[in-house]
Parts: sequence; C-alpha cells; structure tokens
Amino acid sequence: RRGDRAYDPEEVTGFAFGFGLDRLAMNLGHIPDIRMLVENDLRFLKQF
Amino acid sequence: MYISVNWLRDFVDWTGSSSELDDLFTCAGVKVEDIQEKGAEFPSIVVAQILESGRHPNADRLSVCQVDDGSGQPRQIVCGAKNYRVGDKVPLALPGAILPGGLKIKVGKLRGAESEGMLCSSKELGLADDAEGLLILPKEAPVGKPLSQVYPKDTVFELEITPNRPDWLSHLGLAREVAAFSARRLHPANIEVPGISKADDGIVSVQATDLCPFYSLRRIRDVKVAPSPQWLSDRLTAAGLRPINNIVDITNYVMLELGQPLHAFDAGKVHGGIVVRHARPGEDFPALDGNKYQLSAGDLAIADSDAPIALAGVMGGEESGVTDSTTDVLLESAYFEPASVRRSARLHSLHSESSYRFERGVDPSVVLVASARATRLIEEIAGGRGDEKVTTAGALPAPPGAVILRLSRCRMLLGANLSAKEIRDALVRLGLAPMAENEDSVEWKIPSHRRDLAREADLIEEVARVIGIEKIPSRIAASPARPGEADAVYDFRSAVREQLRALGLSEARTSTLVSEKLLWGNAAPWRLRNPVGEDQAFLRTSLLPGLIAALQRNIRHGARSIALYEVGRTFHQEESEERETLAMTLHGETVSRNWRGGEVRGFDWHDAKGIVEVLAPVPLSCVREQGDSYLALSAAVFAGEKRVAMLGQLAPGFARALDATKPVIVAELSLDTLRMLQRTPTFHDIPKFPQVVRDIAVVCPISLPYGDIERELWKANEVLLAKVEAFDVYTDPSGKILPTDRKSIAISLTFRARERTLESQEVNAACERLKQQLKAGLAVDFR
Repeated sequence: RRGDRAYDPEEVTGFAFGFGLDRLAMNLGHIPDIRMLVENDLRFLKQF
Repeated sequence: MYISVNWLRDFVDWTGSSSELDDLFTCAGVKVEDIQEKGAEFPSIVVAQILESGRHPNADRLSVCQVDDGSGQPRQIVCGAKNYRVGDKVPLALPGAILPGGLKIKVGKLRGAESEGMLCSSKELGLADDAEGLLILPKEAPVGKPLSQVYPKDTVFELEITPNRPDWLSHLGLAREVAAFSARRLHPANIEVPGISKADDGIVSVQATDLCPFYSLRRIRDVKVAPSPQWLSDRLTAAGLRPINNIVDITNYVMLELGQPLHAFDAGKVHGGIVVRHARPGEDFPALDGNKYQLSAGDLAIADSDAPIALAGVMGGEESGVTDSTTDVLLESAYFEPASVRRSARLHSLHSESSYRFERGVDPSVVLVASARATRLIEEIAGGRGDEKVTTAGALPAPPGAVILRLSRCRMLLGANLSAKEIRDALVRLGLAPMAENEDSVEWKIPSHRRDLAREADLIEEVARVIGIEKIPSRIAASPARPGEADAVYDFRSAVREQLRALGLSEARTSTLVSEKLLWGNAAPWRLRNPVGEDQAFLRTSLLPGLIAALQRNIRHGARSIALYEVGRTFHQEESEERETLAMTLHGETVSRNWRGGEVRGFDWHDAKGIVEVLAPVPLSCVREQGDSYLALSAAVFAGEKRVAMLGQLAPGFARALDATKPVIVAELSLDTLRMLQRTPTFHDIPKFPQVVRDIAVVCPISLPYGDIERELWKANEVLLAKVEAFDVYTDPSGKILPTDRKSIAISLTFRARERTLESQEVNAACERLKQQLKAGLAVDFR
C-alpha cells in the first residue's frame, strides 16, 4: 500500500529484538569489565 | 528525573510501600535508578526557640540556655554548641525521645546544671553524615510543633524517563500512570482557566508562527519577591532544583507538577510589547546562566522592542529576570515547536529542564492550565493580582486523531485470548475513551497527553503493558525451518573457528570502526558521516591492524607465544561490499619451554602456510608478490586460479616498533572463498600394491624457489610419480662442500603403480627421467 517493497504488516507479523550479546556473555562468564571483550589479552582469552 | 512521593500523593491515593511503587514503575516501563528515603517521624522532637544563652558556671565549653518549647514555660537546656544566636530555632529532643543513634534523652544534670532535654545537630538526627554545631531551622519553623513538620518523611525516586513518554516528565503525568497501574483514584488538578483575550500587537505579536504556534502572557501586578515558603523549596530541592526566589520557584514548581515549562519576566524591564520572532544572525543574548550567546537565524527569540529577552523554550535573559526589586511579572506559557527548541539547545550547547521538555513535546492542553495554576500560586505566596484575562496569540495544535483498534488483531498479535472487556478496561485506565464500536473494532479517542499513540499497534502495545506481559500465556509455536544460505555461512564460520582453536590459536575480537591510523594499505575506506569520535570514524578494510594492536598489547604484558585469529567483516568501498574475512597473526615461541629440552622454535612463515593448508584442503600454490609497505614478505596463495589468502611477515622496522623480538607472521583470507573450496571427500581406493620411495638431492642456486622444482617435476607427467616432498635443505656458508651461492634440497619421491608391484628397474628409470627433466628445465645438479 505504501508503494515500496517492505513487508505488509497485514500479511506478515514477526518479532524484532536486540540482544546485547556482550552483556549476556559477561553475565554467564562473570566477566566484570566489558572492555576485556575487545582488549584481546591472551590471559583473558585463554580462560575461555 | 527526581520525584517526591508526597508530591505524587497530591494527585493519586497511593498508600503502598516504596518497594511496591518501585515494582509498579518498573512494570509500567519507568526505569527506577535510585530510591532515597528522606526525613523521619522524629517522635518527641520539637521546634524550640532560644530565648537566652549564658556561660555554664562550671564548664568553659558549655552554655546554659533557656528555650521556648511552645508550652508557655521556658525550659533549661545545657548545650555544647557554639554556632547559634539567641532567637534561632533549633531541634529540641524532649525527655523520652530516642535519637536515631539509640541515645535516650532524659532530664539530668550536666556539670551541676539541670538540662531538661537536648538540642540537636543534623548528624544526631540522622539527617546528615557530619555536622558542625546545632541544626539551625528555617525562620518560619513553628515553635513547639513536631520536627517532622519541618522535615516531613518523604521518599524521592530517581527515574529514567524514556523519550517516547514526555508526559512522564511531571508529577501529574506519573501520578496518572500510578493510578492506571494500581487502580487507585486519580485526583485531576482542578484548575480554573481564566478568560482569554486575543492579543493585540501592543502586548504580544508572534511573527514566527511556524516555530511558535501558540503563546500566552499573563500580567501579575504588585508582587513581593522573597524566598519561597519552606514547603515549596523543600519540594524543589527534593526534585533536584535550587530555590531562587518565590516567583522563579513557582514557575519551576508548576513545571515539575504539570509538565509545562513557564517563564517569568520582570515587566518593568520589558520595553514595549513582546515579539516572538526569528533571531537576527549574530544578535547578542546575555542569558540567565551568566553567559553571552550569539543567536542565529534559526533560533526563536522572545524579544521586546529592543532586544531578545529569552531564547524561546531554552533560557530567559539576564536583564529581564525576576529580582528582589521586581513588582510586576509577565508570565509566559507557550507551545514551542519541539525541533526548533532542540536545534537551538544543541547549537548553543545550552540545555535546561525547560528545553528538555519542549524538545520532547509538551501537552498543549496544559499550557493555559499551568499559567492559571502559577498565577494562583503567585497570588497566594507573593501577594499580587493577576490580570483578569490571559493574552494569547495563535492556536494550540489540534487534538490527536482517533485510533481504531480491532479486537481480533489485538488477540492475534499478543497471542492471548483477551476478552473485549479486558482490552477495553486496559485502555480506559490510561485515559482513552471509546467512541464508536462495532463487532470487532472500537474507535478510541486519544487524550491530549498521549500523542505517542498514533496507530493500532501503539494501542495493542499499551494493552499488553497494562495487563502485564507476564500474564500472556507461554506456548510453543514452532515449526522447523529449512536451512538456508545464511545457515551454511554461519555453520562454516563456526567450523573454521573450531579448527583454529584446535590448532592452538586464540580468538580475538577487535573493533569494526577504526581510527585513520588503523587503516593500512591503499584500499579506499568508508568514512562515517557522524562518527562518535575520531578513533571510530572509519569502517575497517582489513582485520590485521586491529589484530596487530592486540599483538602489541600482549607483547607488552609479557606474552612469549602469541597466536591470534579473528573472523569478522571488512568493508571495501571500491567493490562496494562487506566481506567475511579471517585473519591471523603469529609471533614468538611455538610451544613453551619444557623439560624435553632443546631450542624452542619460533613461529615462522611456514606455520601460517600450514594453517591455511588445513583450512583449504585443496592443492595450493604460493606466489611472491609486492605487498603493502608494512610487510617485508608477502605471498598470495592460490587454489588453481582462485586467490585464497595473503600470507606475510611484518617489516622488521615495523615489528620493532611493536617491541616484537621475533618475526611477526600475518595472514588474511576471504571466508567466502574458503567456503567455496570445501569439498565433501570422496573415497579413493587404497593402493593394494606397495609404494617405493627414492630420495634425491638437488643442488641449485640459493635463490631458486623450491616451488619451481616441484612444478618442474610434475611437468614431467611421470605416470608412476605419486608424491613429492622436500625434507631437508642444506647450505654451507664455509663454501667447502657446497659453493656459498648454492643449496642442496633433499627430496623424497614416492612411486607406485595401481595394478602391480613395481620392479626396481622401472623405478630407477622413472627417477632418471625426472632428474633429466630437472636438469633440462632448471639447470640443476645432483649429489
């Protein structure tokens, strides 16, 4: 109806959600500082 | 935003506990950051006034005071503090009182003088962590009355209000939500709006009607500017604002109460009528915060006949502000276009409680109500008389349009079989009113403060929010999905990561957005139009710079063996594509020192090549190439015609800058290309007949690549040849056995025939043929 190729909400329904995988990993791994996930220190990497 | 629960109770019959209110807010979608309990009951502690104070006859440090405790009889108290004056009002703990620390107050003698109670500091009352001397109470504190009247028990919630609910930026707005979610009664603010008189150009003229659709001004005469009464400044302080004077405080109070920002001008400082216009570029504006601003043409100015007196919706001017000498007040209450206020606030980096609310959209139906409320408060608190009518210009934005909700769609999207009554009740609780109804759908009138409800989906979300998402029953509604291309890519990526982990490398994750100095090589990068900072301004064209930075960090921490890989996306402007890339870096000892002894080998180029061979199990060939400037050695790896990988070694100067003491090996591959090379293995018959191995030693110039020799051997098309493998390289720097410019490569040649055992002569002949091929093609010798 709008004239573009987007899904028509009358035809298609679904879920959209964003998950912070970093924070989930921090929770599971009891990692205290989010920066550790991008510093790539081997002393950290080797624990996982 | 800070709200006071006592203040909230002006509008809603909330009697629950703080933790119940915390839960209610959280379920309603209001984020609670902090809860602070303030004040207390203070049983048996009253306000007392010091009538007399004299030296204690037996103690230098003490005084004997006579205080008025409201009973008519003066009371004698011995006191050690020095910070008070006769006439001050202070807290008096009567005999029988128990202080927060546990101290019981009783009548007694201190150094021979009777003391019938105790005068308190804020620390002793538990109101502060530290105190110097007695707590001096405000002048209006009522003598003899309980201290809890001066410091009433209250709870202050610190809330984070999401941008989609500007109606929550006031106590009334939040009270509405509390009423809706707790089924308590809401007392609407019953404020009478006075008659409206249309502006004549003498009083108000709006020239920029696009940025200011509606403006109102009320004149209040003969006010007495003074500090605000205790209850008012207490509420402002609880909400995080500083009390200034009664007029300004009232404008802030009404803003926090109803959500409509107001501004008061000193009428005596406004020359001529008020004009709401675009600012002239460069126009000077000295603001209330003490700074001078240069306005731009995009700014909306509230001006008098001379100059701007306010930056609309953001901040008032210094010269027209209300001071002690003000007698007449002009009270502004308007609807400013949100985008315009946001622009001005951003441009001048000037943000206020007022701009915050205008940016998000105020409720047009409150504009005149707030003006009336503030006028009434000013009349009550500062004296003064408001003019009979409020002058207005323009028109308020139209009320929000009605929205139709289909019951069937609501049930379908929420996945809950809600009754028509449940759905209806949920929306009625939020202030919506049903208008027209038929079989499946209801047309809803949207209240003025919920302009965020624009379509059916918004209403369905509200139904879910009011009823409670946790009340929607869970069920499994799944069906198997066919694996697609995305799954194949994902599975391959996981497999590669597993393989590399098993080979002993560690997985690193580096940033996709990089600074300019992490862009190596000549590939043109994509630059962000609005980067968060210069160190995140570009999309990376390669994984290597980030990995090398990680390598450097690990070297600095003393790591002796570093093997890192990363699987991630790189972005290529010229080909306009995102590429799934794999990169690795190796440096240092291959294994750590161990008791088996021997020299520990360092990572070299061949280790990387070996890893690539594991990942790409097809015949590969390497070709030297001229790499980017940071590489001393660079080779391209091909599987047939397809380029699979780049292998390289960092230039020594570069590596030294990283504090790398051994060679730094790098490799980068395209994951897509790698995936295309994967083959399901097919079975080949295991040879029934034994193989024969012959070793040859090829002497050739040092510069001759081994690859040439191997290629030449295969070129011979020797049917019996099965495998070629170099197993030793020998050079002689002394020149005695071999010339210094030659090397000797020991190669083992494996021969076999499918259908029979080979005869010795056949193998010898084949070997000779191969040697001839090498001699002819490459001019080598044998030994």
